[in-house]
Amino acid sequence: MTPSSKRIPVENPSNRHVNKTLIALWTLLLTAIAAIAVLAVMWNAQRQHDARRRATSLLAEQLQPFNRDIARLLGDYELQFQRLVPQVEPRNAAQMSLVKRNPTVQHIVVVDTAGQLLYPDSDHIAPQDRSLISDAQLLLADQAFLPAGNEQSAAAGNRSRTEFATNGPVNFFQSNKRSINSSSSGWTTWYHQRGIVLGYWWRQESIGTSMIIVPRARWVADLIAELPSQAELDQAGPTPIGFCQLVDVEGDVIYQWGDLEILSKTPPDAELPVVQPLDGWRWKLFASASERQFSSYDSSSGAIALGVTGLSLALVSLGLFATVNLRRQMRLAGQRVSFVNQVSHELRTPLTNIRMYADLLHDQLQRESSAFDEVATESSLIQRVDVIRDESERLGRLINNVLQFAHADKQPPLHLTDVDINEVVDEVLTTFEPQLISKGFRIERQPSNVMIARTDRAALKQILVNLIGNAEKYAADGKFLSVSTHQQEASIEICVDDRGPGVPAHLHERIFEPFFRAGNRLEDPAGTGIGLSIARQLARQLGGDCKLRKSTVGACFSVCINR
Amino acid sequence: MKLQLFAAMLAVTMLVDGVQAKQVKLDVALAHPVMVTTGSKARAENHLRIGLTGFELTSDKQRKSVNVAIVIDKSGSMQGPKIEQAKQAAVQAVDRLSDADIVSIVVYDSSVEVIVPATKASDRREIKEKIARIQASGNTALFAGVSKGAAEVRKFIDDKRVNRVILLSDGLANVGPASPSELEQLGLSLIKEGITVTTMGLGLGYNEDLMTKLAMASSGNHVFIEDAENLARVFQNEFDDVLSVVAQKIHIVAKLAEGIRPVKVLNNAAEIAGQTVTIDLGQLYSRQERYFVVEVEIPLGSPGSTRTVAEVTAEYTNMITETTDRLASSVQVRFSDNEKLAEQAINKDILASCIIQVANERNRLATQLRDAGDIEAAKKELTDNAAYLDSYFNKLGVEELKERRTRNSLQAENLSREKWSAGRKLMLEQQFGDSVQQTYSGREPK
Repeated sequence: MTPSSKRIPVENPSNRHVNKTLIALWTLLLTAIAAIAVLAVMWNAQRQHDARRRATSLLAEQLQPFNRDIARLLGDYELQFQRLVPQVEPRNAAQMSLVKRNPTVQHIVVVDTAGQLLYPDSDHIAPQDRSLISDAQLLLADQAFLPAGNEQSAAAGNRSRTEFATNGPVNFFQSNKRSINSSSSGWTTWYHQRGIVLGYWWRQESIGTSMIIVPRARWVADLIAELPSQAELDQAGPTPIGFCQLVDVEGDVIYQWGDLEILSKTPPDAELPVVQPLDGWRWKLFASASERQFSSYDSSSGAIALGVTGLSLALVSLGLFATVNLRRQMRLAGQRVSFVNQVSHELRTPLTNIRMYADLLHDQLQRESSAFDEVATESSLIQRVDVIRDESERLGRLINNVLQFAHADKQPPLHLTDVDINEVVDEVLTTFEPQLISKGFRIERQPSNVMIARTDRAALKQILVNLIGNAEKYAADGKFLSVSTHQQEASIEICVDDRGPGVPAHLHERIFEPFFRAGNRLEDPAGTGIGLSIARQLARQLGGDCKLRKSTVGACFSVCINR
Repeated sequence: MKLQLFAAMLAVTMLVDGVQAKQVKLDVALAHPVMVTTGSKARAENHLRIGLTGFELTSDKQRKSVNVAIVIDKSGSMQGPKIEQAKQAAVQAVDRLSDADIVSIVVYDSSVEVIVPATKASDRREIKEKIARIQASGNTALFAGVSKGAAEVRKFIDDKRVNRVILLSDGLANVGPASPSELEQLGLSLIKEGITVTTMGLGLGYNEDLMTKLAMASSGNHVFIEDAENLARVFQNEFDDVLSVVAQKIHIVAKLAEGIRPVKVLNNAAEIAGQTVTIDLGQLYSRQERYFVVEVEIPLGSPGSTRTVAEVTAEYTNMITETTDRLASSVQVRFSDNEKLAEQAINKDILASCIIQVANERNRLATQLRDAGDIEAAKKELTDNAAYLDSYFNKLGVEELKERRTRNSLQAENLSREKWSAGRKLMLEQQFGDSVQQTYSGREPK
């Protein structure tokens, strides 16, 4: 076999470990980057949420003046009505009709201290006004609105309240009865036929309680008149706040103004409830782009993105650096392994020749010694040739192990044949016998019946060579070696016992790791540290295992193989 | 009572003289001044007609300044010739104003723009330039447009001026309050301040109920302009009215004698409380004859006897003298068992105007039937109404009756689905015109 004819694979098992390491490294890095990004996004979202809330409340502030417009309008009405109060004489029809000629008066309803209707005359109420006036009467007949300290009125009040319950649609904005009791006039609202009804009521001890109902269309129109129109906005300056809407309880737009183009987007940027008594009505603001930017502008958003990107880049560079470095080291290691492989391979051919010629020389010397009977001279020559044979045999085993180890990641196919196990054991023992005996070993071979297993002969042989070689190297002090074979149901066990120093319990597994040597001192016997590892690997390949058994004296290796 | 009689006589005397300051004429009469007592009934129906006639403005110099807000719908549907005609009409209207008049221009689509806030009409060129820049687009915020228009008028509101909002719209109100009753309520409130709203419906897209109710409630005019080409003329007619107001804030109180029951006031808003009927009217134009018909139930007296039916007073602001004038009149009924005598006593014009109002009520009923989807019943109502008018035309020979008869017959033709959109608008406009004796309409020239 010439060196060029066989390519020695660069690939070796550690490559897989490196890949795994790299994957782990990258997973870690990417997870870290993702975590940082997620945290940054969350933090930014929180900040933006805060900023938006701040902006919304800032924008809502801009709606406040319109609430003041409403308050002012109601204040104006209140002043007008207070001037009307002395003119209200429920029994003077002409006087009352004069009061009703006021543009802001739709109806005037007066109840006496018992809650009975004084005005309008119930016989002369137009059919379409009947339910509205009846609502107002029921409302005023409630105890809270009547002049206090009247037992009769309390009774009437109670009665009216039950009527309320059945009547339904009336609800007070002044639900706080005490606030009604403590004042002598005020605004109240209720719903009637889908619309809000605005009433101003006041108490007079001598008469009872009166209420002016402001026509809804009128106060809405007056409200609209108070609010800005387009032209006023255009004159106001280049930056109107956007688009504003006044919406009622149902969400219907009552009035709107501003830059209509902004409206297309929903929802509004800010909302503000309309002041009492218009509960449920809302102002909506759709801010102009410039306004929204102004109120929610935030420069640190960019800085965060920049920071996260920078950090991610740094981590990725670190990962890349580690990857490149590792790969280079891998390549170098691979090259070294390949070099050792090639050298080992190259050594095999001369070694085979050395062995062959040593054998020839041995045979020749033996023939000549028997022919000439020069025992003393010849036997010392034979002994020397035997040393050459033994040493080349040992070298051959070493090279076999090295090559086996180098090919560990791509297992060669097994050549399964029916093998007589005891025959293989005896063959290996015979090979080792001279060295073992020269080191003073007593060899105990426990014979047994013929055991045939379907297995790979070469592999089995290498396992035994490694185990017996191991004992020869390390258990020479015990001067004892025992090899026994045991047949089990589905497997065959071969035990190799010695009486050497043994292996501490905590190293029982580690001695099977490649390159592991129990002692690393210079005076320790020479060895590569791969023999046991290869034995276990091959045993496993054969469907069994190689283990170190617990024993009181020395070491007891056990090999199991499938039958 | 004697005193009131004296006052009425005085009023009549003053009119006859014509020497004194001009006054509105109050004329109170019964459709049937002599009631027949034959038959078993103890009470019988009659119609009380309260008529007002505006005096003539002899020259334009006499007229009082006006305070007008022109409110123009510039929503998307107005695009094209409509908005151009409207702008032209507004420009021509502004040209008729004098320096002392006050004008404001409000346009609306989805929102409202006061393009000319209330100002003296002295710089008409600038106002017209602003009108020329109007462009149509968007929705119809009609309520807000009227609100802003009224607010502009309110800035210079004065009893001595003619305070008016002129609303032109071709579409359905779709932003803000939009129901006819809400606009009616707004009109009722505005007229109490002396602000009148005239509504002009252009094309077939507007809500005629909303427009007629707003105008009716606020004593304004209402016209249906099917063809935008008529816009300019209609604006001229409207300004003829605006510039010829002779009386404002007219408050009529009719006190009916004991036992006589006021049933209702035909086709006009009024307050009836006990024996008192109160009617408010925004204004009276020069030479306009405006009347109200009150349906009454009179207990029949013995033949040959007479009794007073009602005493009527009218208070108004005289636009020429700037004083609050007061008129009074009363009317009596005679009972007779002679039917021929009763026939002879009839004043043809007065009876005819009462018949027109009765027929107008029946015409409204036909609209209601058609709205409910009952085309056949509506048709029958209209043909019956035409026959009713025809019978009185034959009896009285008054041309207006013949015209109303033809009108009812034509309306009966317009009830079908395809003609109803325009037919209804025309019908409501004509009902409106009859109810308030409007001086012009959206179609034929005066």
